[in-house]
Amino acid sequence: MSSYYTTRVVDFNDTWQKKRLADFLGRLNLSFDSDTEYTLVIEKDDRIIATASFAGKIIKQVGIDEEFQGQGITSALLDPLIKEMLLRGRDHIFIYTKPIYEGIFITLGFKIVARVVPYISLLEWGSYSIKKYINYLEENRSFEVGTEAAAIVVNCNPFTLGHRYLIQKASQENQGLYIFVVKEDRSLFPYHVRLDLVRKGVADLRNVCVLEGGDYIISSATFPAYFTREKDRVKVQTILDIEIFAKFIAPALGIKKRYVGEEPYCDVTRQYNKTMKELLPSKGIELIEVERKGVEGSPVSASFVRECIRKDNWDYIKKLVPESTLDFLQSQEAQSIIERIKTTHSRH
Amino acid sequence: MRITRQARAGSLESSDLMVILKPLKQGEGIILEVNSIVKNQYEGRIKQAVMDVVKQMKLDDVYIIVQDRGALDCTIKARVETAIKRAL
Repeated sequence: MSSYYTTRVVDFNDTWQKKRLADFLGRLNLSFDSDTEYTLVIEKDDRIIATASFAGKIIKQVGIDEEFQGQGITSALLDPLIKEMLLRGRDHIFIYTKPIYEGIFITLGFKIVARVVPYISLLEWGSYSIKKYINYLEENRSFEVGTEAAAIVVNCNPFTLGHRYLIQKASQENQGLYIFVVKEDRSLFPYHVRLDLVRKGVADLRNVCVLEGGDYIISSATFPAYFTREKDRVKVQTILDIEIFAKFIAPALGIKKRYVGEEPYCDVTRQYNKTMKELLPSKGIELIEVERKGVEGSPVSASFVRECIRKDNWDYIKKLVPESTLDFLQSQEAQSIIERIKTTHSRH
Repeated sequence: MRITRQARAGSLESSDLMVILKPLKQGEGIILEVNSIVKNQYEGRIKQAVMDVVKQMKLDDVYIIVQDRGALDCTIKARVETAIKRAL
């Protein structure tokens, strides 16, 4: 690329720079996500001709002015962006793009994880890969090959008697049961705490194996907004997630059934369950929706437990969580989490 | 010799390569992963070039990721050497 081009880091405090970026993205039908950490632009004659950003381990908002496409701008843009991510210790990187643009990212070393044609492809780069995650699963396969196993994906923020009820039911109905704990750390209870409380909460069930959800099970909360209109976004995200589950995770562990709890509150989860019901059977996996356990007439949910924590309603919390979770909530370690729950109104 | 921190050298531009080094625990040896647009034809050559430098500098317990876009042997060796010196 010639020296007439300048690469610049966007200063988010500069409203003029931000507006110029937003205008450029707008022309490409992209929008600026509020969780964006770092943005690069390439300029020519004082006008933006290309941009890319990242948030966490995900590259997003990649856009190049049509006039300048096909001139090696993508590598000039992504090379410094990836270097910055590496400096920040992120050496496993994801990008979402449309299937028609996969090629340019593959030449930079990205590998396809999964795609939903024509909407979206998920690609990854760096020190970790879906292959390595599958190896982790196969190494942790706890039941003999040929055993028909079931799976449940949980966030457990925190682990309640509702989770316990669903897991116990599935463990009784199957020879083996795998529990995947969502790794994405966007919850008030941090991942290691959630994982630990799940392990303790199911310790007495012999045929239950708790595994890390990794980056490949419901981790795309960070799904960039721009591929589809909002309305379709959840649907496409869900299809991609189900595709990865059915294509890689279920075969690695011999999973034939997936259990979910009925969702009374959250629209996104309800949509997710509905899409699974439509798609999983055609991929040889049965979806079983279990009615939520109720306590005094209302369904037990982790969000309700957090609500009770906000109100210091400990008598009620005792009815909603097992002893292991209660012990944790009353420990010193939990105090900072409880503090945070009380001061935020985060849904998660 | 062992490295002490993660380091990188090179770029993702055409005809170049990016080398990333990560320290491994003592006794874990050398893990080399090569990803290249010409992997089918030249994987062996690329590995050879990387290992030449690694052996010459007597490096051990390192995880090496090579992201190649058709670099020449001399470029590969220079990038690996730079990455090692940055990682010490």
